[in-house]
Amino acid sequence: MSVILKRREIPIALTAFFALYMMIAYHSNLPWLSEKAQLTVDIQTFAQILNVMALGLGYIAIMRLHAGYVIRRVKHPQPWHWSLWLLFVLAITTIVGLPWGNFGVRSEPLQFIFSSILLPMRGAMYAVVSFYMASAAYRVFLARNKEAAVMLAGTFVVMLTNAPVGELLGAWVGNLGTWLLTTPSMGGMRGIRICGALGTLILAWRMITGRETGYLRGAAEEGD
Amino acid sequence: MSQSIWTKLSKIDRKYIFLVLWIAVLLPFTVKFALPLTISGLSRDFYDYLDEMPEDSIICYFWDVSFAGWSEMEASGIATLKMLFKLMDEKNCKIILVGMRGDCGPLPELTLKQLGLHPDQNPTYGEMYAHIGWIPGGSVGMSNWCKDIRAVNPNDWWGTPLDELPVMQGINDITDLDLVLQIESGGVGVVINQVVVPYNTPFLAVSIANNVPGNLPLLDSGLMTAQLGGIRGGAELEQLTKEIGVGNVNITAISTTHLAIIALMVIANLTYYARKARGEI
Amino acid sequence: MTLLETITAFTTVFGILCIYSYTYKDNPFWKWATNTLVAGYIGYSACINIDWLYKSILIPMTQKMNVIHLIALLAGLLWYFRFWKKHFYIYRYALAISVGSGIGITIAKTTRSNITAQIASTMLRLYGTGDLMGDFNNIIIVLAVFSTMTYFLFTVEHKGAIGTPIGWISKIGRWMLIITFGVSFGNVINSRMALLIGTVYNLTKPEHSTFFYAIGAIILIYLIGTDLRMREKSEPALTTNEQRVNP
Repeated sequence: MSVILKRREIPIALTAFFALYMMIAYHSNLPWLSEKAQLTVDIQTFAQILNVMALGLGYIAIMRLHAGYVIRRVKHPQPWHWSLWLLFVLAITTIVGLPWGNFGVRSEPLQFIFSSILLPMRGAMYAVVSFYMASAAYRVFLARNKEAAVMLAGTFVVMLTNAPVGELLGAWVGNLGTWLLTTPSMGGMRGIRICGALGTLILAWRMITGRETGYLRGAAEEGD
Repeated sequence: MSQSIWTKLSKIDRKYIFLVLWIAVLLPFTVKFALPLTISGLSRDFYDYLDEMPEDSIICYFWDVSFAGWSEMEASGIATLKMLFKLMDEKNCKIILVGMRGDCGPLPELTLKQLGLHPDQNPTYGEMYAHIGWIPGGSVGMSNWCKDIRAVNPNDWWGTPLDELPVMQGINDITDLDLVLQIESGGVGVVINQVVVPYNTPFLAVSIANNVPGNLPLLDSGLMTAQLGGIRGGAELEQLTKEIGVGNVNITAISTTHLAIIALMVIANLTYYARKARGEI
Repeated sequence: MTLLETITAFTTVFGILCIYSYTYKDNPFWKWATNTLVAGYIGYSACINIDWLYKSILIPMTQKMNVIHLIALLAGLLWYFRFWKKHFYIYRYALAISVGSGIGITIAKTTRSNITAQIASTMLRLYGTGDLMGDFNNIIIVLAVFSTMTYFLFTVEHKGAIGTPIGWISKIGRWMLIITFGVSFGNVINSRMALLIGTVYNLTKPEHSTFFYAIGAIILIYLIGTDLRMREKSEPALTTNEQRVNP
């Protein structure tokens, strides 16, 4: 039995069935096979709950990884006491966040964690990238050839358009920046969008016909 | 052998570049000054569309901004929300707030608290506006929500059944909404594909600056009605609505940081060409 | 300020400055911040999803059984076979359903939003709009769309009767893409700087500024101090000749 269940054909068939069903349901007017049909709603509800149930995968993976670091008392990639701290914070957040007693997502302790730890620190984490972007812009963004010079010029004009200081140079800066954004760049973006969508269609077709099975492969030591 | 100034500049430690950026970002917060701000066509179209909403409209505001993106989107998010509440007061419009990701369950709550409109602060919550939670499950979840709101969110964020909220009377699915807005830092694809394409609902986007060029084809093709972009869009909307806030405070720092980056890139290019002229590269 | 407000202000400023301390160098403050943030965010995400499942699915099911919800909850447990080496393959069933429904629901609509609507709005008048600038802009837009699509799609050798004109159009497409990416990069810089400014604004708020200066000074002194100590330790020792001359 497990030999049959291990075969890739069954998940590929499931992918194809659900994908084709959803596509046909959108375009169909048949009462039993349309977007509003009860079967379609049931399938979408089923898929939605299934997606939400995957929430624990990252949680368990992180727990396993850092518990392993603590048990083995590793020094790389980070000393094990940091992993212990991580597991401690994970436990505290879970305990105050689960819906029991006076705790839950709307409780004061989790609101504190959310507003004074997660919100500001995640913003700062992404903002740190701006420093490295400035450093990269200094070292790498050089007008070595015509193409780089044109790209650099476009960047400068748009930066001056976005910043109020650009208006001190005259209205032409804003007008040029807006024209670049709404005409050649918009055309280029449209071309990218159309080609990207065609690529997505082809990838979807390959997944439906079973030619693309990369998404079914797991980690090497867990796969077959 | 001593190195030329150009070689030293090309090898400068990045800590000095970071220091320049730190000075550029802190300067406007220590030495307060303001620069004139011209209202762009995009922001004006966004404002005009909202301003001309008919009476008794039902407006849904989707929140799709991460914790990380809130630093940038706070200005435009709050300015838009204030404008929506103005429509609620002046034109009897109903406002429904709903998150599109886990981060956006508590984020609208925090914003409502800031504006004094949290249920604990405002006893009229639920009559003309409500925060009905968030929609999990990505595209599939959104598609489900559009067909039956109560199937995904039977209660509001604080647990009150939607049927007990006067604002939700007669609102069962997406076809009952007159306008949809989305504050986003991750793309408008889900709303465009699950709301606009099947139901032709008018759609306004409050986008992170990163996404503005990519969204312009959608704006041009009519799938998007108007777009407000980044921190500058927020500052411009604040000026149009005459509710000066975070956007106008922070927009000056955009000027100083952009000038710093431009100066760094100009120095880098001068250095490169000077070294090339001297035969060092 | 109340005690809770003080603790909130301290935690906010300390967290932000620990993250920014990485701009100097890797240090224990940064490590504390990243581990706290990762753990907090994953714990929070799990809790908010469990909250939705509990309030929107499980509690309504206690009032009225919904067979679809029950089957979905049980099928959702298939995900966790990923961690069982012997029966890893069972997790593929949940994955297949999730991927299949995602593909179907997106592809059905993306054809209109990203292909047909885009092509339709590229069908512009190239002359006679009554406005010379309007004609010019339409020509640029059509040229940009057509040439970038040629650049991506027609990857034939640029030789011969067919390849040569495709080569010219692809070259124009390349230039359009260069302008597009330059404009995009300008907006990316705007976006990143706005994130930085937003967090610095948070630090300079009146209720946070005292903590900002105090904690900022402490962290900076620590970083510079450890940096100087490391440099002292790594300075080369005296050579043996020098030791002989100056014992």
